[in-house]
Amino acid sequence: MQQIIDFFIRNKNFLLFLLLFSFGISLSQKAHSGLYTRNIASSNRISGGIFAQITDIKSYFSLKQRNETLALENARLLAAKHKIKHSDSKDTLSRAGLMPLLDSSNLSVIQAHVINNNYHKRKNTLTIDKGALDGVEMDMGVVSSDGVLGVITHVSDHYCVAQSVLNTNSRIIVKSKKSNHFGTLIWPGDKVDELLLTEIPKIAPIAPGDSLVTDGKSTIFPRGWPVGQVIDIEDAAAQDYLDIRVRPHTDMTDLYHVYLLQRPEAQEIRELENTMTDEL
Amino acid sequence: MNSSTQWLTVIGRFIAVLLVQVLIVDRIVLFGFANPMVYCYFILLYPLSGNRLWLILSSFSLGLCVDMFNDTGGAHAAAAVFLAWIRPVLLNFAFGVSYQYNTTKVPNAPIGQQIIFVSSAVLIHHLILFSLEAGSWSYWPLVFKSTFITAALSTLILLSAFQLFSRKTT
Repeated sequence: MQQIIDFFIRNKNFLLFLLLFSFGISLSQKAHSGLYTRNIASSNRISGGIFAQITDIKSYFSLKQRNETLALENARLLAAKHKIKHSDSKDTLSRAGLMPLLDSSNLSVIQAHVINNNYHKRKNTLTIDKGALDGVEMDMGVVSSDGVLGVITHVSDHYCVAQSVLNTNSRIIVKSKKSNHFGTLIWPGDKVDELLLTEIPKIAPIAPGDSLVTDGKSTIFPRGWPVGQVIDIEDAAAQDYLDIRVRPHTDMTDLYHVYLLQRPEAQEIRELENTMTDEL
Repeated sequence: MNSSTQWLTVIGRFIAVLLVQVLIVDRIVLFGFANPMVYCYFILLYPLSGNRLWLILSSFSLGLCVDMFNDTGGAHAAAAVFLAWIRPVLLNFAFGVSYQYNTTKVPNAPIGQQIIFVSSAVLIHHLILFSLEAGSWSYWPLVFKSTFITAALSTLILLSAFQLFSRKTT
Protein backbone atom coordinates (compact mmCIF):
# COMPACT_ATOMS: atom_id res chain seq x y z
CA MET A 1 0.00 0.00 0.00
CA GLN A 2 2.76 2.37 1.04
CA GLN A 3 4.51 1.63 -2.24
CA ILE A 4 1.43 2.43 -4.27
CA ILE A 5 1.04 5.79 -2.53
CA ASP A 6 4.75 6.45 -3.01
CA PHE A 7 4.41 5.63 -6.67
CA PHE A 8 1.60 8.14 -7.06
CA ILE A 9 3.49 10.86 -5.20
CA ARG A 10 6.69 10.26 -7.15
CA ASN A 11 4.89 10.33 -10.49
CA LYS A 12 2.29 12.96 -9.71
CA ASN A 13 3.50 15.28 -12.47
CA PHE A 14 3.40 12.58 -15.08
CA LEU A 15 0.00 11.28 -13.97
CA LEU A 16 -1.48 14.77 -13.93
CA PHE A 17 -0.02 15.42 -17.37
CA LEU A 18 -1.44 12.15 -18.71
CA LEU A 19 -4.87 12.88 -17.29
CA LEU A 20 -5.05 16.42 -18.68
CA PHE A 21 -3.51 15.45 -22.03
CA SER A 22 -6.06 12.71 -22.64
CA PHE A 23 -8.84 15.01 -21.46
CA GLY A 24 -7.71 17.62 -24.00
CA ILE A 25 -7.54 15.04 -26.80
CA SER A 26 -11.00 13.71 -26.01
CA LEU A 27 -12.41 17.25 -26.00
CA SER A 28 -10.86 17.98 -29.38
CA GLN A 29 -12.23 14.72 -30.79
CA LYS A 30 -15.68 15.63 -29.54
CA ALA A 31 -15.35 19.00 -31.26
CA HIS A 32 -14.82 17.19 -34.56
CA SER A 33 -18.07 15.30 -34.23
CA GLY A 34 -19.80 18.55 -33.35
CA LEU A 35 -20.92 17.32 -29.94
CA TYR A 36 -18.83 19.50 -27.71
CA THR A 37 -20.05 20.95 -24.47
CA ARG A 38 -21.53 24.41 -24.36
CA ASN A 39 -18.95 26.02 -22.12
CA ILE A 40 -16.08 25.43 -24.50
CA ALA A 41 -17.90 26.95 -27.47
CA SER A 42 -17.16 30.61 -28.16
CA SER A 43 -20.85 31.46 -27.76
CA ASN A 44 -20.38 31.65 -23.99
CA ARG A 45 -20.82 34.94 -22.20
CA ILE A 46 -17.12 35.75 -21.69
CA SER A 47 -15.67 35.10 -25.12
CA GLY A 48 -18.86 36.16 -26.90
CA GLY A 49 -18.89 39.41 -24.94
CA ILE A 50 -15.23 40.12 -25.67
CA PHE A 51 -15.64 39.39 -29.37
CA ALA A 52 -18.73 41.61 -29.53
CA GLN A 53 -16.84 44.52 -27.92
CA ILE A 54 -13.88 44.18 -30.28
CA THR A 55 -16.12 43.92 -33.34
CA ASP A 56 -18.01 46.98 -32.16
CA ILE A 57 -14.80 49.00 -32.15
CA LYS A 58 -13.46 47.47 -35.36
CA SER A 59 -16.70 48.04 -37.26
CA TYR A 60 -16.16 51.82 -37.13
CA PHE A 61 -13.15 51.47 -39.38
CA SER A 62 -15.06 49.76 -42.17
CA LEU A 63 -18.34 51.71 -41.91
CA LYS A 64 -17.95 53.33 -45.31
CA GLN A 65 -17.31 50.08 -47.13
CA ARG A 66 -20.14 48.24 -45.30
CA ASN A 67 -22.54 51.05 -46.13
CA GLU A 68 -21.60 50.81 -49.80
CA THR A 69 -22.35 47.09 -49.77
CA LEU A 70 -25.70 47.57 -48.06
CA ALA A 71 -26.63 50.40 -50.44
CA LEU A 72 -25.85 48.17 -53.42
CA GLU A 73 -27.99 45.43 -51.91
CA ASN A 74 -30.79 47.94 -51.42
CA ALA A 75 -30.53 49.09 -55.01
CA ARG A 76 -30.79 45.52 -56.25
CA LEU A 77 -33.86 44.85 -54.12
CA LEU A 78 -35.51 48.09 -55.25
CA ALA A 79 -34.96 47.20 -58.89
CA ALA A 80 -36.41 43.74 -58.27
CA LYS A 81 -39.42 45.20 -56.45
CA HIS A 82 -40.05 47.51 -59.37
CA LYS A 83 -40.00 44.55 -61.75
CA ILE A 84 -42.54 42.65 -59.65
CA LYS A 85 -44.92 45.62 -59.71
CA HIS A 86 -44.96 45.73 -63.47
CA SER A 87 -45.15 42.06 -64.22
CA ASP A 88 -46.05 39.22 -61.93
CA SER A 89 -45.10 36.26 -64.03
CA LYS A 90 -43.05 33.71 -62.15
CA ASP A 91 -40.43 33.84 -64.85
CA THR A 92 -39.56 37.46 -64.08
CA LEU A 93 -39.39 36.68 -60.40
CA SER A 94 -36.94 33.90 -60.86
CA ARG A 95 -34.81 36.07 -63.13
CA ALA A 96 -34.82 38.81 -60.51
CA GLY A 97 -33.57 36.27 -57.97
CA LEU A 98 -36.63 36.68 -55.81
CA MET A 99 -37.94 33.14 -56.11
CA PRO A 100 -36.74 32.19 -52.60
CA LEU A 101 -38.81 35.01 -51.13
CA LEU A 102 -41.90 33.88 -53.00
CA ASP A 103 -41.35 30.22 -52.34
CA SER A 104 -41.59 30.53 -48.59
CA SER A 105 -43.23 33.87 -48.06
CA ASN A 106 -43.19 33.63 -44.29
CA LEU A 107 -39.51 32.76 -44.00
CA SER A 108 -38.31 34.24 -40.71
CA VAL A 109 -35.17 36.34 -40.99
CA ILE A 110 -32.98 37.59 -38.13
CA GLN A 111 -30.44 40.25 -38.94
CA ALA A 112 -27.08 39.68 -37.18
CA HIS A 113 -23.35 40.39 -37.22
CA VAL A 114 -20.41 38.03 -37.35
CA ILE A 115 -18.25 38.83 -34.34
CA ASN A 116 -15.60 36.17 -34.86
CA ASN A 117 -14.75 34.46 -38.10
CA ASN A 118 -12.01 31.92 -38.70
CA TYR A 119 -11.00 30.33 -41.97
CA HIS A 120 -7.49 28.96 -41.49
CA LYS A 121 -8.51 25.76 -39.70
CA ARG A 122 -10.16 22.58 -40.98
CA LYS A 123 -13.23 23.00 -38.78
CA ASN A 124 -14.00 26.66 -39.12
CA THR A 125 -16.77 28.42 -37.21
CA LEU A 126 -18.50 31.78 -37.10
CA THR A 127 -19.50 33.42 -33.82
CA ILE A 128 -22.61 35.56 -34.21
CA ASP A 129 -24.04 38.24 -31.90
CA LYS A 130 -27.62 36.91 -31.65
CA GLY A 131 -28.76 34.15 -29.31
CA ALA A 132 -31.73 32.22 -27.99
CA LEU A 133 -33.26 35.40 -26.53
CA ASP A 134 -33.37 36.86 -30.05
CA GLY A 135 -35.10 33.77 -31.39
CA VAL A 136 -32.08 31.91 -32.75
CA GLU A 137 -32.45 28.14 -32.82
CA MET A 138 -30.25 25.21 -33.74
CA ASP A 139 -30.02 24.35 -37.46
CA MET A 140 -30.96 27.77 -38.72
CA GLY A 141 -29.18 28.76 -41.93
CA VAL A 142 -26.68 31.63 -42.02
CA VAL A 143 -26.60 33.57 -45.30
CA SER A 144 -25.48 36.86 -46.75
CA SER A 145 -27.50 38.52 -49.48
CA ASP A 146 -25.43 36.81 -52.14
CA GLY A 147 -24.47 33.47 -50.66
CA VAL A 148 -24.80 30.68 -48.14
CA LEU A 149 -22.38 30.91 -45.18
CA GLY A 150 -23.15 28.19 -42.64
CA VAL A 151 -25.50 26.46 -40.22
CA ILE A 152 -26.10 27.26 -36.52
CA THR A 153 -24.71 24.53 -34.27
CA HIS A 154 -24.58 26.11 -30.79
CA VAL A 155 -26.90 28.63 -29.20
CA SER A 156 -26.46 30.44 -25.88
CA ASP A 157 -28.66 33.22 -24.50
CA HIS A 158 -26.93 36.08 -26.32
CA TYR A 159 -24.66 34.48 -28.92
CA CYS A 160 -24.51 31.56 -31.28
CA VAL A 161 -21.88 29.60 -33.18
CA ALA A 162 -22.32 28.47 -36.76
CA GLN A 163 -20.47 25.78 -38.62
CA SER A 164 -18.97 27.67 -41.55
CA VAL A 165 -19.20 26.47 -45.14
CA LEU A 166 -15.41 26.24 -44.75
CA ASN A 167 -15.71 23.30 -42.37
CA THR A 168 -14.89 19.77 -43.42
CA ASN A 169 -18.11 18.60 -41.71
CA SER A 170 -20.23 20.96 -43.78
CA ARG A 171 -22.72 19.30 -46.19
CA ILE A 172 -25.08 21.51 -48.16
CA ILE A 173 -27.39 20.23 -50.86
CA VAL A 174 -27.24 22.48 -53.91
CA LYS A 175 -28.48 22.32 -57.47
CA SER A 176 -27.70 23.99 -60.74
CA LYS A 177 -29.86 27.03 -61.41
CA LYS A 178 -30.71 25.66 -64.86
CA SER A 179 -31.67 22.09 -64.05
CA ASN A 180 -32.86 20.05 -61.10
CA HIS A 181 -29.78 17.81 -60.77
CA PHE A 182 -28.56 18.16 -57.22
CA GLY A 183 -25.37 17.29 -55.37
CA THR A 184 -23.63 17.79 -52.03
CA LEU A 185 -21.38 20.78 -51.52
CA ILE A 186 -18.38 20.04 -49.29
CA TRP A 187 -15.10 21.77 -48.41
CA PRO A 188 -11.88 19.91 -49.25
CA GLY A 189 -10.12 21.79 -46.44
CA ASP A 190 -7.47 23.90 -48.10
CA LYS A 191 -8.49 26.97 -50.12
CA VAL A 192 -10.86 29.59 -48.66
CA ASP A 193 -12.35 30.40 -52.07
CA GLU A 194 -12.95 26.91 -53.34
CA LEU A 195 -15.67 24.39 -52.51
CA LEU A 196 -16.29 21.00 -54.06
CA LEU A 197 -19.62 19.85 -55.43
CA THR A 198 -19.89 16.07 -55.49
CA GLU A 199 -22.54 13.53 -56.44
CA ILE A 200 -23.71 15.38 -59.56
CA PRO A 201 -24.39 12.65 -62.15
CA LYS A 202 -22.37 12.75 -65.35
CA ILE A 203 -25.42 13.30 -67.54
CA ALA A 204 -26.26 16.60 -65.84
CA PRO A 205 -25.93 19.57 -68.20
CA ILE A 206 -23.48 21.69 -66.26
CA ALA A 207 -20.69 23.94 -67.49
CA PRO A 208 -18.13 26.32 -66.00
CA GLY A 209 -19.76 29.65 -65.23
CA ASP A 210 -23.10 28.11 -64.19
CA SER A 211 -24.69 29.46 -61.03
CA LEU A 212 -25.55 27.14 -58.17
CA VAL A 213 -28.40 27.64 -55.73
CA THR A 214 -29.66 25.82 -52.65
CA ASP A 215 -31.96 22.94 -53.35
CA GLY A 216 -34.50 23.31 -50.58
CA LYS A 217 -34.61 19.57 -49.90
CA SER A 218 -32.98 20.07 -46.52
CA THR A 219 -34.90 21.97 -43.88
CA ILE A 220 -32.10 24.49 -43.38
CA PHE A 221 -32.07 26.71 -46.45
CA PRO A 222 -35.03 27.77 -48.61
CA ARG A 223 -35.02 26.76 -52.25
CA GLY A 224 -33.04 28.92 -54.66
CA TRP A 225 -30.71 30.87 -52.37
CA PRO A 226 -27.50 31.69 -54.32
CA VAL A 227 -24.37 29.72 -53.42
CA GLY A 228 -21.62 30.16 -55.96
CA GLN A 229 -20.34 29.65 -59.44
CA VAL A 230 -18.87 26.61 -61.18
CA ILE A 231 -15.24 27.27 -62.07
CA ASP A 232 -14.00 23.87 -63.19
CA ILE A 233 -15.39 20.41 -63.86
CA GLU A 234 -13.34 17.28 -63.39
CA ASP A 235 -14.61 14.24 -65.22
CA ALA A 236 -12.82 11.18 -63.83
CA ALA A 237 -13.45 8.16 -66.04
CA ALA A 238 -13.67 5.73 -63.13
CA GLN A 239 -16.52 7.55 -61.40
CA ASP A 240 -20.21 7.93 -62.09
CA TYR A 241 -20.20 11.41 -60.68
CA LEU A 242 -18.53 14.67 -61.60
CA ASP A 243 -16.20 16.57 -59.27
CA ILE A 244 -17.08 20.21 -59.64
CA ARG A 245 -15.02 23.04 -58.21
CA VAL A 246 -17.14 25.94 -57.02
CA ARG A 247 -16.27 29.51 -56.09
CA PRO A 248 -18.63 30.87 -53.40
CA HIS A 249 -20.15 34.27 -54.22
CA THR A 250 -19.28 35.61 -50.76
CA ASP A 251 -15.73 36.36 -49.64
CA MET A 252 -15.62 34.09 -46.58
CA THR A 253 -12.69 36.02 -45.10
CA ASP A 254 -14.65 39.28 -44.85
CA LEU A 255 -18.03 38.80 -43.17
CA TYR A 256 -20.01 41.27 -41.09
CA HIS A 257 -23.72 41.69 -41.92
CA VAL A 258 -25.45 38.31 -42.11
CA TYR A 259 -29.00 36.97 -41.94
CA LEU A 260 -30.21 33.94 -40.01
CA LEU A 261 -33.02 32.13 -41.79
CA GLN A 262 -35.60 29.74 -40.51
CA ARG A 263 -38.11 28.00 -42.71
CA PRO A 264 -41.40 27.97 -40.81
CA GLU A 265 -42.16 24.52 -42.12
CA ALA A 266 -38.78 23.15 -40.92
CA GLN A 267 -40.16 21.91 -37.61
CA GLU A 268 -43.06 20.12 -39.28
CA ILE A 269 -40.88 18.46 -41.92
CA ARG A 270 -38.44 17.28 -39.27
CA GLU A 271 -41.19 15.84 -37.09
CA LEU A 272 -42.69 14.06 -40.07
CA GLU A 273 -39.34 12.58 -41.03
CA ASN A 274 -38.75 11.45 -37.46
CA THR A 275 -42.07 9.62 -37.26
CA MET A 276 -41.22 7.88 -40.52
CA THR A 277 -37.88 6.59 -39.22
CA ASP A 278 -39.64 5.41 -36.05
CA GLU A 279 -42.10 3.38 -38.07
CA LEU A 280 -39.37 1.82 -40.16
CA MET B 1 13.10 38.61 -7.01
CA ASN B 2 11.05 37.34 -4.08
CA SER B 3 8.39 34.71 -4.51
CA SER B 4 5.30 36.90 -4.24
CA THR B 5 6.38 39.20 -7.07
CA GLN B 6 7.29 36.10 -9.04
CA TRP B 7 3.74 34.82 -8.65
CA LEU B 8 2.32 38.15 -9.69
CA THR B 9 4.51 38.07 -12.79
CA VAL B 10 3.26 34.57 -13.63
CA ILE B 11 -0.43 35.51 -13.22
CA GLY B 12 0.02 38.77 -15.12
CA ARG B 13 1.78 36.96 -17.94
CA PHE B 14 -1.01 34.34 -18.10
CA ILE B 15 -3.66 37.00 -18.65
CA ALA B 16 -1.46 39.08 -20.97
CA VAL B 17 -0.53 36.25 -23.35
CA LEU B 18 -4.13 35.01 -23.43
CA LEU B 19 -5.49 38.43 -24.39
CA VAL B 20 -2.71 39.11 -26.90
CA GLN B 21 -3.31 35.70 -28.50
CA VAL B 22 -7.09 35.78 -28.83
CA LEU B 23 -7.60 39.49 -29.46
CA ILE B 24 -4.65 40.38 -31.67
CA VAL B 25 -2.63 37.46 -32.99
CA ASP B 26 -5.63 35.24 -33.84
CA ARG B 27 -6.69 37.91 -36.32
CA ILE B 28 -3.38 37.68 -38.16
CA VAL B 29 -3.46 34.92 -40.76
CA LEU B 30 -0.53 34.94 -43.17
CA PHE B 31 -0.61 33.17 -46.55
CA GLY B 32 -4.18 32.14 -45.79
CA PHE B 33 -3.28 29.51 -43.18
CA ALA B 34 -0.42 30.57 -40.88
CA ASN B 35 -1.73 31.91 -37.58
CA PRO B 36 1.19 32.29 -35.11
CA MET B 37 0.79 30.99 -31.56
CA VAL B 38 2.39 33.34 -29.06
CA TYR B 39 0.84 32.00 -25.87
CA CYS B 40 3.72 29.48 -25.62
CA TYR B 41 5.60 32.50 -24.20
CA PHE B 42 3.95 31.77 -20.85
CA ILE B 43 4.97 28.10 -20.81
CA LEU B 44 8.52 28.71 -22.04
CA LEU B 45 9.22 31.50 -19.54
CA TYR B 46 7.51 29.94 -16.50
CA PRO B 47 10.08 30.31 -13.67
CA LEU B 48 12.71 27.57 -13.86
CA SER B 49 12.52 27.12 -10.09
CA GLY B 50 8.71 27.06 -10.13
CA ASN B 51 6.52 24.13 -9.21
CA ARG B 52 6.08 21.76 -12.16
CA LEU B 53 2.62 20.70 -11.03
CA TRP B 54 1.42 24.30 -11.28
CA LEU B 55 3.08 24.69 -14.66
CA ILE B 56 1.15 21.69 -16.00
CA LEU B 57 -2.15 22.86 -14.49
CA SER B 58 -1.80 26.48 -15.61
CA SER B 59 -0.69 25.52 -19.13
CA PHE B 60 -3.74 23.30 -19.46
CA SER B 61 -6.05 26.11 -18.37
CA LEU B 62 -4.32 28.56 -20.69
CA GLY B 63 -4.78 26.16 -23.61
CA LEU B 64 -8.41 25.56 -22.69
CA CYS B 65 -9.07 29.33 -22.63
CA VAL B 66 -7.56 29.68 -26.11
CA ASP B 67 -9.72 26.72 -27.22
CA MET B 68 -12.80 28.45 -25.89
CA PHE B 69 -12.17 31.47 -28.10
CA ASN B 70 -11.30 29.36 -31.13
CA ASP B 71 -13.95 26.63 -30.93
CA THR B 72 -11.26 23.97 -31.19
CA GLY B 73 -12.50 21.74 -28.36
CA GLY B 74 -9.32 20.79 -26.51
CA ALA B 75 -6.59 20.87 -29.15
CA HIS B 76 -4.76 23.87 -27.66
CA ALA B 77 -5.15 22.47 -24.14
CA ALA B 78 -3.60 19.12 -25.12
CA ALA B 79 -0.72 20.74 -27.02
CA ALA B 80 -0.02 23.22 -24.22
CA VAL B 81 -0.02 20.58 -21.47
CA PHE B 82 2.31 18.40 -23.54
CA LEU B 83 4.72 21.30 -23.99
CA ALA B 84 4.58 22.02 -20.25
CA TRP B 85 5.41 18.42 -19.44
CA ILE B 86 8.26 18.08 -21.96
CA ARG B 87 9.79 21.47 -21.06
CA PRO B 88 12.52 20.15 -18.70
CA VAL B 89 13.72 17.76 -21.41
CA LEU B 90 13.95 20.62 -23.91
CA LEU B 91 15.72 22.86 -21.38
CA ASN B 92 18.28 20.13 -20.82
CA PHE B 93 18.63 19.59 -24.56
CA ALA B 94 19.17 23.28 -25.34
CA PHE B 95 21.07 24.62 -22.32
CA GLY B 96 22.70 21.52 -20.81
CA VAL B 97 22.47 20.78 -17.10
CA SER B 98 23.32 24.35 -16.08
CA TYR B 99 19.67 25.37 -16.07
CA GLN B 100 19.03 23.03 -13.14
CA TYR B 101 21.24 25.11 -10.89
CA ASN B 102 19.12 28.11 -11.71
CA THR B 103 22.15 30.11 -12.81
CA THR B 104 20.67 31.23 -16.10
CA LYS B 105 17.48 32.72 -17.42
CA VAL B 106 16.22 31.79 -20.85
CA PRO B 107 16.35 35.32 -22.37
CA ASN B 108 19.94 35.78 -21.07
CA ALA B 109 21.29 32.61 -22.64
CA PRO B 110 23.34 32.70 -25.88
CA ILE B 111 21.08 33.29 -28.85
CA GLY B 112 21.94 29.96 -30.50
CA GLN B 113 20.72 28.02 -27.46
CA GLN B 114 17.58 30.15 -27.31
CA ILE B 115 16.79 29.38 -30.94
CA ILE B 116 17.19 25.64 -30.33
CA PHE B 117 14.99 25.77 -27.24
CA VAL B 118 12.19 27.87 -28.71
CA SER B 119 12.08 26.25 -32.15
CA SER B 120 12.03 22.69 -30.80
CA ALA B 121 9.32 23.58 -28.27
CA VAL B 122 7.22 25.37 -30.86
CA LEU B 123 7.58 22.54 -33.39
CA ILE B 124 6.37 19.93 -30.90
CA HIS B 125 3.51 22.15 -29.74
CA HIS B 126 2.36 23.02 -33.27
CA LEU B 127 2.59 19.46 -34.54
CA ILE B 128 0.25 18.23 -31.78
CA LEU B 129 -2.01 21.23 -32.15
CA PHE B 130 -2.45 21.00 -35.92
CA SER B 131 -2.83 17.20 -35.92
CA LEU B 132 -5.62 17.41 -33.35
CA GLU B 133 -7.19 20.36 -35.07
CA ALA B 134 -7.23 18.61 -38.46
CA GLY B 135 -8.85 15.60 -36.80
CA SER B 136 -7.93 13.13 -39.51
CA TRP B 137 -4.72 11.77 -40.99
CA SER B 138 -5.97 12.47 -44.49
CA TYR B 139 -4.85 16.09 -44.02
CA TRP B 140 -1.24 15.25 -43.17
CA PRO B 141 0.40 17.25 -46.01
CA LEU B 142 -1.52 20.29 -44.85
CA VAL B 143 -0.69 19.57 -41.19
CA PHE B 144 3.04 19.44 -41.92
CA LYS B 145 2.94 22.53 -44.11
CA SER B 146 1.15 24.60 -41.49
CA THR B 147 3.31 23.16 -38.69
CA PHE B 148 6.62 24.18 -40.27
CA ILE B 149 5.62 27.58 -41.60
CA THR B 150 3.61 28.59 -38.53
CA ALA B 151 6.39 27.32 -36.24
CA ALA B 152 8.94 29.51 -38.04
CA LEU B 153 6.70 32.54 -37.54
CA SER B 154 5.92 31.75 -33.91
CA THR B 155 9.62 31.20 -33.14
CA LEU B 156 10.52 34.55 -34.66
CA ILE B 157 7.82 36.35 -32.70
CA LEU B 158 8.67 34.57 -29.41
CA LEU B 159 12.42 35.29 -29.68
CA SER B 160 11.71 38.96 -30.40
CA ALA B 161 9.32 39.05 -27.45
CA PHE B 162 12.05 37.58 -25.21
CA GLN B 163 14.38 40.43 -26.20
CA LEU B 164 11.70 43.08 -25.77
CA PHE B 165 9.99 42.10 -22.54
CA SER B 166 12.58 40.54 -20.31
CA ARG B 167 14.78 42.34 -17.84
CA LYS B 168 18.43 41.89 -18.68
CA THR B 169 19.59 42.16 -15.08
CA THR B 170 19.48 39.30 -12.56
